[in-house]
Amino acid sequence: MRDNKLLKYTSYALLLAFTFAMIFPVYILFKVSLSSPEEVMTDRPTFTIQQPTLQHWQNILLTDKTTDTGQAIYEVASGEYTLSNEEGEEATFGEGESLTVNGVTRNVRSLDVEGKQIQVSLEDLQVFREELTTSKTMFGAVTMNNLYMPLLKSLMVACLTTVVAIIIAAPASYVISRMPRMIAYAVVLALLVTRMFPDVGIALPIATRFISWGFIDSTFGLVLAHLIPNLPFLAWILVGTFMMIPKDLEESAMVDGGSRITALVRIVFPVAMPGIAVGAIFVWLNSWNEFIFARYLSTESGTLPLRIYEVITNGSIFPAAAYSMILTIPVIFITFLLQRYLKSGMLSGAVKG
Amino acid sequence: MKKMRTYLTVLTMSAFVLAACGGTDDTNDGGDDQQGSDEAGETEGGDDDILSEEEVTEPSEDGVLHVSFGLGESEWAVFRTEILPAFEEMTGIEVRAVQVESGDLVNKLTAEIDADNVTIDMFAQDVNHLTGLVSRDLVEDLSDYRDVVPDSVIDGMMEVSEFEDELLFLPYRPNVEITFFNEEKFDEYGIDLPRNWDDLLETAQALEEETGQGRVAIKGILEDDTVLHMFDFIRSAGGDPHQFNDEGSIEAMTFLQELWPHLSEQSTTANWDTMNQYLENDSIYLGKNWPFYIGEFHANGKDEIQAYAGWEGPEGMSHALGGEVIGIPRGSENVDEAIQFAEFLMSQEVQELLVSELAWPAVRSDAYGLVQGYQEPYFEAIRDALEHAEPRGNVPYWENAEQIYIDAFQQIVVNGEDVESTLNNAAAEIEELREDAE
Repeated sequence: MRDNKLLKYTSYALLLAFTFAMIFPVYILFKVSLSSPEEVMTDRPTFTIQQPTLQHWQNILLTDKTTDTGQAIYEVASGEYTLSNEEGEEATFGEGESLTVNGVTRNVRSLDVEGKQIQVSLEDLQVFREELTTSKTMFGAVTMNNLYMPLLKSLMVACLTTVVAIIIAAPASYVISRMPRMIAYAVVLALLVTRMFPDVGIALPIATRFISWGFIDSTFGLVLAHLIPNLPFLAWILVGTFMMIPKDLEESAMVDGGSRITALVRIVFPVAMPGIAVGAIFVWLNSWNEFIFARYLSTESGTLPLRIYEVITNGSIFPAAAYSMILTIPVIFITFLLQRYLKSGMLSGAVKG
Repeated sequence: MKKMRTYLTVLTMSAFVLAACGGTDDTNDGGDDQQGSDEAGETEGGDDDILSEEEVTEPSEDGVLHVSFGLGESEWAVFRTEILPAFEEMTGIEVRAVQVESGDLVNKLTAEIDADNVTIDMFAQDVNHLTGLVSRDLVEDLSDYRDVVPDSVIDGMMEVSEFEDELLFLPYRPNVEITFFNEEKFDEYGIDLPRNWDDLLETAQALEEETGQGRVAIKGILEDDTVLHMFDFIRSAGGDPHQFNDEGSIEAMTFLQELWPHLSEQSTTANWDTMNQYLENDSIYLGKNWPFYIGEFHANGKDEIQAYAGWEGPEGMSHALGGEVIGIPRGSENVDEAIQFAEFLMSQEVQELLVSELAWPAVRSDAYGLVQGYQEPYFEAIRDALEHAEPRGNVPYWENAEQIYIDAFQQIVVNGEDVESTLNNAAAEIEELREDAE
């Protein structure tokens, strides 16, 4: 009895430790995305959030309002400012007036009053910039390109890859599972052999072929690319699942008048649903996080992992943490959605002795 | 199970609908699809200084120029809101600019050129990552466009753009590593900034004694960053890193061997990226790096991280010249437009804006920007260091040689092996590569 209790408490302790190890990195990401830089950028960062700020989230969710041509729209915060050019011409910009500033052409152009523009020196322009404010928007071109489009593309690619992979792999795996054991083993082995080569090694030749087919920046192309590494593993998982389902089960259905297809759809696939759910989660996560093929096959419209890579390599850890949280949220959602189908004991009592 | 089927059906339908709406995406960074020839020429005056009317060519068939850069967030903001709109307004050529990291560019272009489907018309690439582009024959020869390069472009940038007398790239942005230090910590411990090798060793030892661990770092990650630091040490000792077993090289590697035990253990993982993180979280107090992260130091409230040009060796100061050049992929269908954009980027007005807004040193000696505020001291450091900048040297065998330098660093500095014999072996290997290349 005492041994059982010891085993029980040890299990709890291990489970807690394991859960903590899993959740800890996500918590750190969450904390960094909501912490002030002073709190994180020190040799002794705190474990809890001391000074919460939404600034990092605002930085990635909001951008300056721009004109159709991409120029930032500034406003005069207060007062009136008169600028003059080398020829002595003057233009006055008043409080609340919207304008654009371009340092290349040294041009200040009012948006409210048509034709009111003046070219001044770079020095004057810089001084004037200090008096200007910008308005933010959630759906500016920059946010669309940096966040929403990559997010949408990642979702599309991951969902399509999962669906197509299951449509292809489930029937194929069923057939393999009903082959003589040695042949099934050989086929599964052959499938897995294709995964012996690292993606990083085969990505370039595959990408070259895909690009020649015009699949650059294409959702369809990326789905095809993601099927390459995922189909063999999915088939492997599903062959194991279908092998566990007794042939007698479908034969019973056929004895009761169902066709093979009916037996497959009504009996075998529902019973195999836990395995299919595991496979779906596996494929979805792989596709959601995939990076190498996306990097080769994307120029203008990348996926979210590519975007995070860009932020991490060129920016601060704060927007990177916020982006990473956005990458994590759908994973949690999908996992919770599919985990309910991961039930054991589906076959208990399915076939009478 | 019915629910599962419903979910799957909904998921499938949604995904197909989304895919149908998505397909080959047609997005761009500026959100400026409407921008085009209708706005060309609207800007009055000033434009003639940048591109004359004769220089403005007709836009390509689709009027779109696809370019790639490897920029940080604040740098993108200046390009998106000022540089690209100004160019588009003047020429009517729409520019779609995308982010491609310098480390990814070679493979990406290889795939596109092999597939005969080049989607990038022009790119900016790190000057120390050009060999792969050249050895794989991925870029157009731009020798016929020498005259678009302004006379005032600094010599070193022309040198890095040429390979065996062919102009394969156009200079656009010089850069140099500066030495960052934590001013508060140096004040706290009363330690002066190291100005020469002896100071550097003393500083590393003093900080180690004061804090119980090494606080000075070099990029000892055993990657290309490490090689650039080796070049700086060797050249500042009067050595020739391409020979690698001369007196200067021996002196420099001997010094590094002596310095290594007093450096931060994070030197083994310090590269262009992590060095900033180590400085920012106060793990190290002194380290050399590229200046691209200055804006983030400021934004993150780390103004105590200041910079200066660095220390001298026995024969003076040396910094590897970095920065970016412009290249045009072989097979680009918009070469004329790309040249026009390159010319625009090299123009005095754009260079002055880059100096003023981003504290980038100008590629031409006649571009004077106005660096203000927190950027000023960093810009001073960059200018000082740039005076001692030397190109790494475009040798055709570089891709194979790099590993020889890294191995020598590991053997001598990390493992503490004999300096002379290791360098002799490495030099012999480099000589062999040189002979093969010839």
